[in-house]
Amino acid sequence: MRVHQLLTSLTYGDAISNEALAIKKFLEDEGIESKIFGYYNHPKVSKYFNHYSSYLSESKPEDILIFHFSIGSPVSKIYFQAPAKKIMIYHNITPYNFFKNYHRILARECYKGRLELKKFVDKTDLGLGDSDYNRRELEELGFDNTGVLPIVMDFRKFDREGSRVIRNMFGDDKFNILFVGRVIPNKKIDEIVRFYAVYQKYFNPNSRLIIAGEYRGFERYLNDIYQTIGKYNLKDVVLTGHISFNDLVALYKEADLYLSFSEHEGFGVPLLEAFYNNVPVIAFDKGAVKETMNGGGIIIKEKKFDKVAALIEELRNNESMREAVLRSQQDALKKYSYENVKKILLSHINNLKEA
Amino acid sequence: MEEKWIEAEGIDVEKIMEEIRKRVEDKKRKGIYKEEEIEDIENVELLPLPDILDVPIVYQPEDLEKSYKGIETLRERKIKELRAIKNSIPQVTGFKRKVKDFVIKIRGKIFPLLKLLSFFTLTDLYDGVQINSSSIESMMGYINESVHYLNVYKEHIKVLHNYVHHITTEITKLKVENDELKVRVKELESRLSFLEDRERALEKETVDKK
Repeated sequence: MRVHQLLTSLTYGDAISNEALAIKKFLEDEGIESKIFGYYNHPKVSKYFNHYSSYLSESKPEDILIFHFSIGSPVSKIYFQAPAKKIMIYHNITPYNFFKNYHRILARECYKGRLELKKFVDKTDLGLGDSDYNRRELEELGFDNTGVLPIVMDFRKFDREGSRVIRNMFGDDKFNILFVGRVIPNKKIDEIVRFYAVYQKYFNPNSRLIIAGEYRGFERYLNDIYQTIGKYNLKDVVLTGHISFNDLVALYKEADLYLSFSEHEGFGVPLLEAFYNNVPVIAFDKGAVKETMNGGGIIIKEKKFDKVAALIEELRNNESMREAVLRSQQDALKKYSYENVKKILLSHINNLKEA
Repeated sequence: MEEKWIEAEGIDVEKIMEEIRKRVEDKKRKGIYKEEEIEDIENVELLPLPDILDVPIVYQPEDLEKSYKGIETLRERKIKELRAIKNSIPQVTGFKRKVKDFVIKIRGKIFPLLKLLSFFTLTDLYDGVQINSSSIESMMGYINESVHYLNVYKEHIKVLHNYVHHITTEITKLKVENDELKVRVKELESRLSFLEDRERALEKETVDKK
């Protein structure tokens, strides 16, 4: 049996590519032949890459093909034609209504993406979501056989100092509240900024809000954030834009709290990154957030700004509470261990092989 | 009892919620903030910049055509009304009609004599009619010329109508672009400020190393 993977692009550093490479490694460790086929590739990972046009000539009915779904992928047609048994991994599509006031084209793509997903229902033998939240979406769409495969997280890459310059910039006595993610409407960064206006003014003036993430392409949403910053005359809000991984590590090292008000997460990688870096996490319970946090950190059910601010103050001043939260976060990470994810993947593959 | 709005493993959530409630009440009691202030901040409605793709092309040439068609219809209706008035003039019938036909017949027979008798007396009237006729002709020429200009103006109005709509659309788009560029400037300022801070930190790092 061979288990190959199909995806749109194999690049360096993005979550889907990392997962594809990790799956390849899991399989090869078990002596299963595995290749990655795609449409684009980054030169850094070209040695693992095969062009998708060559897949059909290799595909056999006894093989298994894993497809990483992405909207409007040109490789979908190969997936439909392949004689192998098929697994589709779904990383979620943000509901279009989050984008309709800010990015009409993306809103349309997201809408079309969900329609496109329906085409895979009859062509897929096993639909895998990287969270149960995503799996339930597949089930609602009509996929008969579904399962969960958590994202493979290689946390070892955080075992370093990070950029010393960034650490100097933010390593003062201010209380750093961090959010990591693209500046897009579903992340509700505007709410974080408004919350921070309350927190800084009434609870802790000696604090800083750091939003680390790309904002290009969403200038209209960014404008709303700037308007909010201007309206409340906020001095310590830092929008870093796109940063290097080394800078990101430094930000986690200097963060005192990770705060998320996101209203749609298919998984939530930064939550776990914060767990790993021993940053206490407070996150709003929406989408797959609670499931991803797996009992770690603090989940909030409502966004009452003064109450959340008081909760942060409690966490800041109550050392035993902070330690308990950090402990719960470390326990939660066990679910995402390399061995655990490998075991889950192999069990899905074996079940499909026997089916 | 307050509904549980926090979930966390390994900590006493009830106790933490109580501490939070105390903190919040304390701030309110001291007058540091009011509930309404927080609610105002929580409930701010975002007003996204309009998307350039949302600026509609509002010009609809058929609107103007419709108004012209309306004027034509009105004119046709007026002509019909005039014809109806003309047709409604009562015709002579019965005995009067017979007398009238007889008089017309007699008048036809003696018409050359009547013409001779009136030849010298009607010259002035004839000249007057000639003058009036030429005046009417020149007036007609003037009216035709005016109609021509009216048609030209009509075309000009159409063009202007078009221009006004396009200018409105373009100005709106420029406003949207201007707003977007302002955001870009803010974005660059923010980036610059971040880079300046970074530069200072780098300088400090370098100096410390030395």
